[in-house]
Amino acid sequence: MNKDKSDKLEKFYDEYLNFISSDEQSKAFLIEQGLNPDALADEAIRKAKLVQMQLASRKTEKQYLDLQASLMQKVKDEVEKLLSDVSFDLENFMKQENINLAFRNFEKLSKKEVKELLERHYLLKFENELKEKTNP
Amino acid sequence: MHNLHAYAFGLFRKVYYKVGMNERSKSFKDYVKDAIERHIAGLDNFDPSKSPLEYHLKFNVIRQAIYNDRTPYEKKKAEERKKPLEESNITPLPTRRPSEPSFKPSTSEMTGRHDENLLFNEIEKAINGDDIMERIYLAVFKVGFEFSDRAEICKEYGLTASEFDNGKRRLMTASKSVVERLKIE
Repeated sequence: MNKDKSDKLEKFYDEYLNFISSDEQSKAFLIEQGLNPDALADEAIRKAKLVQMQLASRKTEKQYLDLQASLMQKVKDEVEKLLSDVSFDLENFMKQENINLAFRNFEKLSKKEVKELLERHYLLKFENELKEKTNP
Repeated sequence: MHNLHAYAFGLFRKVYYKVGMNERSKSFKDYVKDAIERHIAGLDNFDPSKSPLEYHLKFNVIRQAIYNDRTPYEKKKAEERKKPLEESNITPLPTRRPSEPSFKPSTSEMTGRHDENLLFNEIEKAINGDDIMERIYLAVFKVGFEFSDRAEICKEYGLTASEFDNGKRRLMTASKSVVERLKIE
């Protein structure tokens, strides 16, 4: 294939495509081809809006998950701090925080159960604080 | 949006020699939708300091996608079509399958033959007698200037800027008619 010939054809087609897709020519060109330019545009815009909505929804979901993750970390840090304090007393803490348990045998709770209880408490507490901040 | 559709339609037809679906079941409209989707999602590496958005979508996204999507079979067909008619052993193809939509009911599909000599001969016939168009055609397609070398062409061929712009527009209008005519069997 002669390179010069091929360059000439490519040069022609580049300019031809520029011409038919210019502001002055594009609508008429599409109509000449039996197409409906406005219908094509509407279809493409509808698709674009759908993509925008999907992206926004994914972004919101990601923001929510990031927020949850950061909240959980805050909870774990708080509970860790509490449990590492040698003077920590669960009964006093529960009175302080107004935590009512259905049973009173919290002395028999394992370390793991205490930790879970405290994490649940702080999670609820921080979520409520966040709600109050965003919806005063 | 019309500009993107016109560009995609013209390029798709040039690359695939038809106006229906390619082997990846995509039509020219799909390439426009994909380009817009990629741009909205920020996946197209658009840099406004380098080029305007329309240029970017046409040349960096749509063009690239249409060429990249050619299957090996389609590439082979394209190479075959570039050979002069006498060297090639393929006959004009009825390329539209019954299920494909007809965009222009009064005309049939392209012959599948992309004869460069025929194209330029017909363009030369169409512009014969128009001095300005002939000068521009000579400069670009015989001597080797680019269309963007407007100042140099004007200087070399004694044209004003306005004569060049007008002449170029008329040249492309004439060329467009030739392209459309050659695609009719």
